[in-house]
Amino acid sequence: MTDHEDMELTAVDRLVAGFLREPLLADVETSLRDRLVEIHDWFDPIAEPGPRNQLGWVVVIGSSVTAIAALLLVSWILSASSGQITQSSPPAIPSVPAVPLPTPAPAQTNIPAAVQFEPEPGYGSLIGQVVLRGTAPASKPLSTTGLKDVSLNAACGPTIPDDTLLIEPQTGGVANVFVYLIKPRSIHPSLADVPPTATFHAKCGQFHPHVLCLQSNQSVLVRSLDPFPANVHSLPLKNMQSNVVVGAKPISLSMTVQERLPFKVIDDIHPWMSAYWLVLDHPYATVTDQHGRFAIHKLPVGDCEFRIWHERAGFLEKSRGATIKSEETHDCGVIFVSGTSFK
Amino acid sequence: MPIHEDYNRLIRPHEEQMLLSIGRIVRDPDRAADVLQDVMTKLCASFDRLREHPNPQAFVLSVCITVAYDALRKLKRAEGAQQVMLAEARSRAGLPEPVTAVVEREVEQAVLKAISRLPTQQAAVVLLRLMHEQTYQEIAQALGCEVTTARTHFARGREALAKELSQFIDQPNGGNHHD
Repeated sequence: MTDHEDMELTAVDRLVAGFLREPLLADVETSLRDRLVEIHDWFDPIAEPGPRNQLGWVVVIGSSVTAIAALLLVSWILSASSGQITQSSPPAIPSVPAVPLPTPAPAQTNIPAAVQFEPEPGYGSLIGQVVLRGTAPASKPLSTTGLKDVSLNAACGPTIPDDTLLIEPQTGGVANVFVYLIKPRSIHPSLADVPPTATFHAKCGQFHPHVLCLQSNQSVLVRSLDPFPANVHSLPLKNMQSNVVVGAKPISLSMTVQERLPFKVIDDIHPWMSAYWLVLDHPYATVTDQHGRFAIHKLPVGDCEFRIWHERAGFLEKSRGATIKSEETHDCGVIFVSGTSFK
Repeated sequence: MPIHEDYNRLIRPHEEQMLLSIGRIVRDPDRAADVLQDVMTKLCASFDRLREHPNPQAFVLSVCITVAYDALRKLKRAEGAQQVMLAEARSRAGLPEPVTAVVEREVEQAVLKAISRLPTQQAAVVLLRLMHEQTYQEIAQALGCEVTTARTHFARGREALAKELSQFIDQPNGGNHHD
């Protein structure tokens, strides 16, 4: 308080200031300092070799990034014109990003790959493909201003592509569609042992994987692979909400109760970032790959009902029946989805 | 510039004052830690603004105070509801009202309650001024308003506090003292 008027303190000022300038309570100070140490971890520049080396590489090459980005852009345009799969919509929709689009995040399921394709008496498989019919809604970048970290913008580009609707240009296959059984008759013994944790991370302004199937006794190790923190704010209906800020050091979040629907996970720091998690009490859930294909194996024989759900369209099928036969694969064929279904 | 360098340059020097701001307003250990996390989340989301701000310290402190103030309001609302429920339960059970044992605690609660009842802008100005002794110029920079507006907010906030806390003030008219 500098000028003459600022020197005036009324009785109420003194009363209020007296309390507001007290030393901190010991337990409050301890709690704050503990949390501050955790917060420093968010900004810890020293982390695991992979992502940090990538960043270090970016810093070292400095101005050459622009040239490399330009080369990649040219190669991307060439590859797109030759029909390679990208994250963008079908060719009919004009959507040219400013930088090369990253490869879509691989869908993650709980079914161990090693046991997926072995026919077994008493069990069968379910396969199918979700394909767009008609024109998909135009895809716009989720952000054109990019990340707050300038060096990371150089690496990832300022444009964050839309990862909420991924359609393969050639076949119209819709990626990241949840396909899951409503209630299985029984569970195959080899699927009873669930990996205790699944991993989930933020990188280049996106969550990876974008869609994640979990079981109710699994926990999720969340972390940021960028050199700055990310917020992981889950919005489940039945499980406890989590709202944590993570840096390079992983934090474990547990999901204990089955959810009826996939729920959204957002980042309050980077508002365009989102992902969906589905928590079930059985392992018979998967998500479609970049071609829109899905497969669920080791299903018990008999009639079963499953759901198909996409984040932009909601239920594509609320309850679809199938009969699983021993050592056979039930093919649901192509499940067509209208372009107008996607909001 | 990588964000951790921005953090070291723009936020780390003010950490002590941030802890004080939050801890003095939110006097509950767990809530204070959550408020600190919310503050950092907001600052991370506002790094572009923070980099270009003419007075980063004032900006950081204003975020601390605004978030802590929101938490205080929620706390006071919850406490108010709890007190009503307790009073109703006591009334039903035929028990007498509890007598406040410590006057100082009563004053502290009254001060915090009075602050929580101020409008957001007034509370921010009052807290920045009385807790951190910021000038009107600094407060105006932090809140993005005119100096005269900051003065008006402070005068109105002070008036409201005087009214709320009149029973604890020796001079009910809030007579001025020159320090």
